[in-house]
Amino acid sequence: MNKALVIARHEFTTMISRTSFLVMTALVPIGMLLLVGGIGAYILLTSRGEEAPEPQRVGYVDLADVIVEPGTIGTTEYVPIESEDQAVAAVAFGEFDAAYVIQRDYLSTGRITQLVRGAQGLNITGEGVGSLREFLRANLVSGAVDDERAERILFPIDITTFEVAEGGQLGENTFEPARLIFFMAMAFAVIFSVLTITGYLLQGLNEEKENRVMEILLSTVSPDQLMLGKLLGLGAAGMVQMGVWMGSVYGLYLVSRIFMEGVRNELPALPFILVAFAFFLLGYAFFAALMAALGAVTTSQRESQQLTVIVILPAVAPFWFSFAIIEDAGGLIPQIMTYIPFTAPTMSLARLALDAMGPLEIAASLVALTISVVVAVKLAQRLFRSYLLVYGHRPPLLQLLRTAVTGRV
Amino acid sequence: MNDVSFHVKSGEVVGLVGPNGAGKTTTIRMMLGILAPDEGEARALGGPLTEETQERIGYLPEERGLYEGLRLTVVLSYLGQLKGLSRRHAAIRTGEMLDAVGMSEHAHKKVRELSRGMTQLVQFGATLLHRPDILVLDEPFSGLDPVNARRMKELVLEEKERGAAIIFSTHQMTDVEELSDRVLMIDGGEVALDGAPSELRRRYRGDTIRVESPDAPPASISGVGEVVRSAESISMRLTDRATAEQVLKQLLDAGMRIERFEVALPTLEEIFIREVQGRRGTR
Repeated sequence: MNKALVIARHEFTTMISRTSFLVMTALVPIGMLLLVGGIGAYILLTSRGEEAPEPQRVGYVDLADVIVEPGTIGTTEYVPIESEDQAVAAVAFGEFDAAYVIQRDYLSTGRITQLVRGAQGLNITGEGVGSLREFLRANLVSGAVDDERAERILFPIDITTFEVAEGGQLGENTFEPARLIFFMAMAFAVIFSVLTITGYLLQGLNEEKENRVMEILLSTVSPDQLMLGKLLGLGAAGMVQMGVWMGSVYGLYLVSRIFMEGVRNELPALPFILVAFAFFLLGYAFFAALMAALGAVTTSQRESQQLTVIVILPAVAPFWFSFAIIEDAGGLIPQIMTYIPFTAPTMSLARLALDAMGPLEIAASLVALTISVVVAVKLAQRLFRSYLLVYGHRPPLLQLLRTAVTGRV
Repeated sequence: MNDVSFHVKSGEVVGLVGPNGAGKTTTIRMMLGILAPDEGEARALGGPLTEETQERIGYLPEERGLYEGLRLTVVLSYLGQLKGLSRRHAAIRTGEMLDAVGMSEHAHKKVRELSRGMTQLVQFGATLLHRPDILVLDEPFSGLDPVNARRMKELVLEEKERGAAIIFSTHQMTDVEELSDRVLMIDGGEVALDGAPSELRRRYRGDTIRVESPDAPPASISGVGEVVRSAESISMRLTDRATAEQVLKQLLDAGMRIERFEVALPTLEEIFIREVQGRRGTR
């Protein structure tokens, strides 16, 4: 055990001082900072424009006789003008920012002529065409329907959402955008971190085989100690990386609270975070065992990189089905993928993000993943013990399968 | 491997020799516990091979390499800790060993920045880092220039003086003659020879004569199997029934001027070649 810890410490310190690891660990928070900063700055700038739009004076010529009374919509004041000629002159002399001529056939065609100075578009007014639309609607319904109907025609929707429980009880909607962000980010982070770290495990094993350090190591430690030490050390490095990334997700959440309306002020509850971390750890252990086995049976980095496709492709499978998952997170395919060890970590986190997994399903998925980890570690141990000193050519597949099952070469 | 059995005493240097594929590296791996024998066992320091006894062994494998991207101090300290040294002690011993192998000025370089020979010296330093009681060196001097090979041999002899039991495999018989107290020859997975060099030479003496003469030997000499000419002398291997006196008489009768005539002790290389060829002839 002591030697496993020496190996773990060595693997950990070597990993966290790798330039590629540091860059990768730092890139995600920096990327998030830039993303959130950019979005925040945009929202801030836009909302500033909304808070203090310039007051506008806009003239209109009502040839269709649809305007009941002039008025102000937002900061745009609509002022009547007698004729089209007067409107042209008023705009030309700068009396108005713009003028609209509501044509005689407006009711049947919706035709309106806009007069602006120079080459400007419809958004010459601060609130643009939306303001004009509102002004026209208000006048069109005025007197035609009662006030209530007029109000509903102008502002037809004010939605409140309730969740319907299985027993039919109504409850307040608990959908948390923060949780969606957290778990989706976690799902990406888990698979990315797991594949990165286990990739380093594979690379390290290949390097030790290629430069024959493996022989020195095995003259001092057992294959089991070596594997345990590597899994612990690299796992710890993965946890550091995940910690940094999750910290940045938390930062993203905090910043998003400032800028985005509707983001609730609670973080995902602690049990959910623990569940997410459990999926990360089990996912890491599973993929690390597979990579350790690959590292043991392959004879060069090139060969092992080709074979990692076998592991990586199913691991990223949930992302192929992301649209289907978002559409129906409780569907058959997402449910099945929740129990397949290759896809369980990512799929479970994605479904947690969409609130499509109950406690029982979470527990069942964790149990299935744990069993898979035990089996994978056991098989990997057998291959690790048998083939660490195999150089030159990879043993045939049947022989590897026999060793994985029986432990004999 | 078939019924290979030998022991190495404290303070003894054993040269492990044998043709390619004879089983030297396999023997070494079994001694170290890297490979498990189907039958029998490797014992070290008076007991079976355990984690503790493994810590008392220093091993230099045949094909060498270290972590390319790491600094020498980091690599050596790590290997020292795996051999049971504390971090502090490993750091101290790292400095001492780099000094001993003349690499202290490169201490903070990465392994990939070193030449092959320098890496080999560093790896040899790593083997001695924890002052092992048993040293197992697989082809330790191959690839080294004469100066560094000399330095390494001195270190091996220092370890012998310290009391370490040393076994090293090699194809260079001159290294064996220079360093070994005993020669162990493995061929076809079996122990073919085991003994002190002087004893082996005596065992194989009597069938080689060495002649120094300005004249060429006659084309055919009765009782002589093989004639090897070098710049200084002529070696003649006698067949079973011939004696040195009979050969000398034939040479003199042929008019050859003899400046020196001796029954030679064979070199270890000659013994090695003869033994291997003899065993192959009987298989």
